Amino acid sequence: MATRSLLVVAVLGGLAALAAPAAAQPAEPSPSPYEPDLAPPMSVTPTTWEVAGAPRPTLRRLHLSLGAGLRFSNLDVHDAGSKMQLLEYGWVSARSPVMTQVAGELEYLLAPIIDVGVAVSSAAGDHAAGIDWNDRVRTRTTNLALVAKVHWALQRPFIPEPRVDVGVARRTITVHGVDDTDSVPFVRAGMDWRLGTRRAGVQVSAGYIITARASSGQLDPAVGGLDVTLAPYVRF
Amino acid sequence: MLLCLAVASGGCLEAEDDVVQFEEDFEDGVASWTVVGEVAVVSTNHPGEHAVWLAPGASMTHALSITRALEGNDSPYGGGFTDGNWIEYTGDCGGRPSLALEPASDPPDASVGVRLVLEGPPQQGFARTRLMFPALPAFIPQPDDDDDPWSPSDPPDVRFTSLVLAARAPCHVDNLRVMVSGGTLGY
Repeated sequence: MATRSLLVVAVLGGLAALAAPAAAQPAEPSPSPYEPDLAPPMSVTPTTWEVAGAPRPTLRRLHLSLGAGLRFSNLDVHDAGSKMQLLEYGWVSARSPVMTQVAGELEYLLAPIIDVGVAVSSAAGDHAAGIDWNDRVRTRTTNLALVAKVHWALQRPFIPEPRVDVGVARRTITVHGVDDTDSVPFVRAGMDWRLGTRRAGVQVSAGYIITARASSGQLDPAVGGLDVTLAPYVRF
Repeated sequence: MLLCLAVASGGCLEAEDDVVQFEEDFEDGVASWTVVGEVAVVSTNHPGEHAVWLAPGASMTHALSITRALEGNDSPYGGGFTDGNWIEYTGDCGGRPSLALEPASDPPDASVGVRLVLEGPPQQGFARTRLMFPALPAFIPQPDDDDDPWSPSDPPDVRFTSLVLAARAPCHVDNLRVMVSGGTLGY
């Protein structure tokens, strides 16, 4: 009797063992977590994640900044020629000054490629002195330019944003109390660093200005060189 | 650091270190000059900058009042009047200008006239020219060698009484000065 019972158990166990692998097989293989989540083109309808009731993020399109800085006209490529012209004409002392300047710009943000806009800056300084110590050659220059600035897709702060300005520098040169104005084209190449958020912050801008020369025979003080500007900005 | 270096290299304007004994920038015209020939005041490289233009053969004369001692420890002329005074101007004339000392009276005494003659041809742009005063002419009594500044035999002081500007070619002249060394290089 015991022998028959053992035989039945053994037969049932063997049948169960034969049937078990067939029952554990899934209908389809499960996706591997390491497989790329790719789908054939046009097979999946794109969707946008939205939180119900949440306000849509504001798309900021304009960048406005206004600040002050210094322009090192002594680093202008025409520094030596400018001083030589003044000294050869009899001015007792000449230099290319470190000019104080104010600067502002308004740009349209064309993400993710480039921002375009206009920039204006104004600088002033004394270039020479005569026998009379108060007799100075003074220059005030206003630069108006079109700006193109690289707009990185990630828009993170602290990333240098290369920019190029092309425009006209309008110079007012005062000699013996008489003003004279001329205009020369210029190019400025530099970098901007935004220290702040997407809405507001401070922008540090550094660039090098190269101006064209005045016509022959005209007084031609150097008004280019390296400039550094610190300017609060807002985006709206 | 770079910022500091850039500011420092910008430099400062400095006052004239030498002594200006006579200066003319022609900003107020030539009313104080005696003019012979064709002369005009014109603007140059800026509407506020004026120079005098002289036609060939024209000349201008201005009174000077410069007195220099020939004796004494502070005399720059004790060694033969070869240094100390110079004349400088800005012009657009090429060639070699000349500077001469002439007797200002007849018979000659210690009064001296200074004559600057400009030569052509005209050139492009303005350049600064400096000319040292020449040696004292023979009509000036020379100091003796007794090294006594109070000696009764000492000659009188030299007096520069006039400046003549003459042109042999069309030429612009500006910022004309008679100078003597001063400051760190002064006697």
